[in-house]
Amino acid sequence: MKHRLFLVALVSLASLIVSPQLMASSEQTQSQVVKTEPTDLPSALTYLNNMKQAYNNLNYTLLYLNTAQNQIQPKQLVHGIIDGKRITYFTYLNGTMRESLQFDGKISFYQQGNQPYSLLSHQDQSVFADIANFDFKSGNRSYEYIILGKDRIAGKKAIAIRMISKDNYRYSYIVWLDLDSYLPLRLDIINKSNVILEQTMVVSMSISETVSPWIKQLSTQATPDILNLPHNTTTEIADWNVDWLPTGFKVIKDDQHKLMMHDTDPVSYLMLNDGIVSVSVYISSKKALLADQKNIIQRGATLIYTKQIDSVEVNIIGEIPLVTAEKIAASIKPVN
Amino acid sequence: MKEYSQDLSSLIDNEFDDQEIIDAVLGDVELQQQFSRYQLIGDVLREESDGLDLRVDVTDSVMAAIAGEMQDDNVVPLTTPEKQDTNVVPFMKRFGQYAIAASVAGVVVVSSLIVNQDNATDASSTPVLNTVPFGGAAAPVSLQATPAQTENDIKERNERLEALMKDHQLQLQTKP
Amino acid sequence: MNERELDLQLIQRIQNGEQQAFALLVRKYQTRVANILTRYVRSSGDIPDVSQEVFIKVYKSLPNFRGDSAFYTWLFRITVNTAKNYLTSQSRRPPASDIDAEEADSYDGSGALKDEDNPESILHSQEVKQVILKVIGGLPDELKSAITLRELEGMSYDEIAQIENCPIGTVRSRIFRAREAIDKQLKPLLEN
Repeated sequence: MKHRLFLVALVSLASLIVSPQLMASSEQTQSQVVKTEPTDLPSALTYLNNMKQAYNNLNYTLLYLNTAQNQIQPKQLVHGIIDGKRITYFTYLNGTMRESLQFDGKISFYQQGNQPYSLLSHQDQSVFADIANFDFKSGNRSYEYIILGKDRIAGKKAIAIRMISKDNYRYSYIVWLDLDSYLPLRLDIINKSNVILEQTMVVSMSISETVSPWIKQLSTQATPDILNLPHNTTTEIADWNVDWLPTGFKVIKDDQHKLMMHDTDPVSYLMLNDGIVSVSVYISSKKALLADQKNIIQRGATLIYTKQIDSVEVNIIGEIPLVTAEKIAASIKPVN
Repeated sequence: MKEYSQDLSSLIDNEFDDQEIIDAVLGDVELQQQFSRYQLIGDVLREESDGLDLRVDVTDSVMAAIAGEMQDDNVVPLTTPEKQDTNVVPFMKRFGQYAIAASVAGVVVVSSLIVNQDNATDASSTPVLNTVPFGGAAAPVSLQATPAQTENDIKERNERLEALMKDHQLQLQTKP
Repeated sequence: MNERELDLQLIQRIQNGEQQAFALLVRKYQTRVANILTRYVRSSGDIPDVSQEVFIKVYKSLPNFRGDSAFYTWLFRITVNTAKNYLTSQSRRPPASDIDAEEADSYDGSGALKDEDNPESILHSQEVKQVILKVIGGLPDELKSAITLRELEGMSYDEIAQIENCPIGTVRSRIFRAREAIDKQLKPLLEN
């Protein structure tokens, strides 16, 4: 078993190295699709909604690879339903044991050599969660959904659907679904030049009628202590606000809190979210260490953007294009 | 050696009269082993040794581990409060483990800035900022930087970015 | 607080920087800790590692030990918590996943074979027990009674003296003589 999987991983790895351009150029795939959609075929939206159902309600195990820049990480996701409640187990397959278990409003983290702990968390944190839980119907203000065509992923017949951003302020996605179960099999995050920034690809999938007895047993175990998040030092909202947001984005957190590790003054914090992507905006009066600095760090789809504006430093972190971060930063205004 | 044996026996029973015996035991490996055996007699009689491998003695490995730890960390916290009744632990105390949340989310943290000078093609060659995912290899990313930066500036900068990155991960885990 | 309480004396020494005193606490309690662990840790080969973890935790938390409970109670709590953490960390491995995490863990070669329920260790443990019981069985009645009252009933020398109707000094020497006799047989069994 082990050898077989290793082989699969190797092959995927090779194909990634050999043909990044091929995978990136969705034009090719698109041209194959043409306009042969008979009216009785399900629409892209139907497929996407089926995916949401499947991802949240089936009992399954996925082995998948995460690729960003030169990094490939094999991981495992086990999902099940116990008495109507979802349970999700996640682990890295390579290197140090790193695992998480999400169940019943809590997510617990375990790492070899460290004390395990839990956080209160009600949002599904698993790999395809952001895409699978998107409100596709109202999301069509920001994205257009197009069926690209059929493909084969992890030995399964799959259908590829492209979610094209209607503007330049967010990335686009291509998602591949298993035609039998509608579970997501592959997800590419692509920029406007069709370069793949990050990719998640399932290499092995198994679905079962009932929840695996093992994960069921996990659900009965005592979870590690819940960590008390640092309290917002004030009940205040952030001292700053943004004047501009891309279509579909909302402010879903607005507070002031201290950063761990840095025992500094609290920073003003905003979390922006469009249903898929979450962006953190930090505004602090910290004076710049690197004078007159604008810092741009990009890894995979994640951008870490830093800009000094007068006496404040703005940091923006999230899976958004640079142009979006620049516009957000430029629109920051003091409250009142 | 022999003259301490009876005191050793009293020591085990909390019936000793002077501290000398403790000093003697601490300074003598033979006596310590005898102490272990005396102790074991009671353990066996109370059936607390059933199923255990009695040849195993973890004393040396524990002491070695402690000695090793103390070298890194000579300061023992004085009066950190005992664990509270609730099972909620102050987050700050656990910062060391907090990286895992981020690692599970599987994103990056900025860890070190390396000025890439090996080619020396250009005096103003762009420093390369290494973004290192938890537990992964580095992937270079370019960073605009002025030559005037000191190493310390860069270190502080990175620490701050790392703090932000971790906070971002944490906010993601607990988003409404 | 009893000045003769060995645990407290040792803890005081450790808190004063005499690290070596901790070795005696380990010697005193390692069997009891291992015994608690057997209720949680399925693979007996893992017990020494988990025991070690317990004692390291104890050492690190000693500055927090305030003496408002007995040291053993405190140690017991740490042992159980450590065992539970160990359990959680063990049982989260999917038994039927494609990749055998257990196998991967031992693959670094350092693990070698785990001597789970090694019959040799069981034999040895039984032999130790038999020897101790045999020696005690052959002891004169007053020694047998003194060591039993002390070890099984947990009585103080004073209490034993009252029951046996003899001076405390006699109790002290009887218990010691019993231990000495057992130790003579026990020592060769535990060497190497």
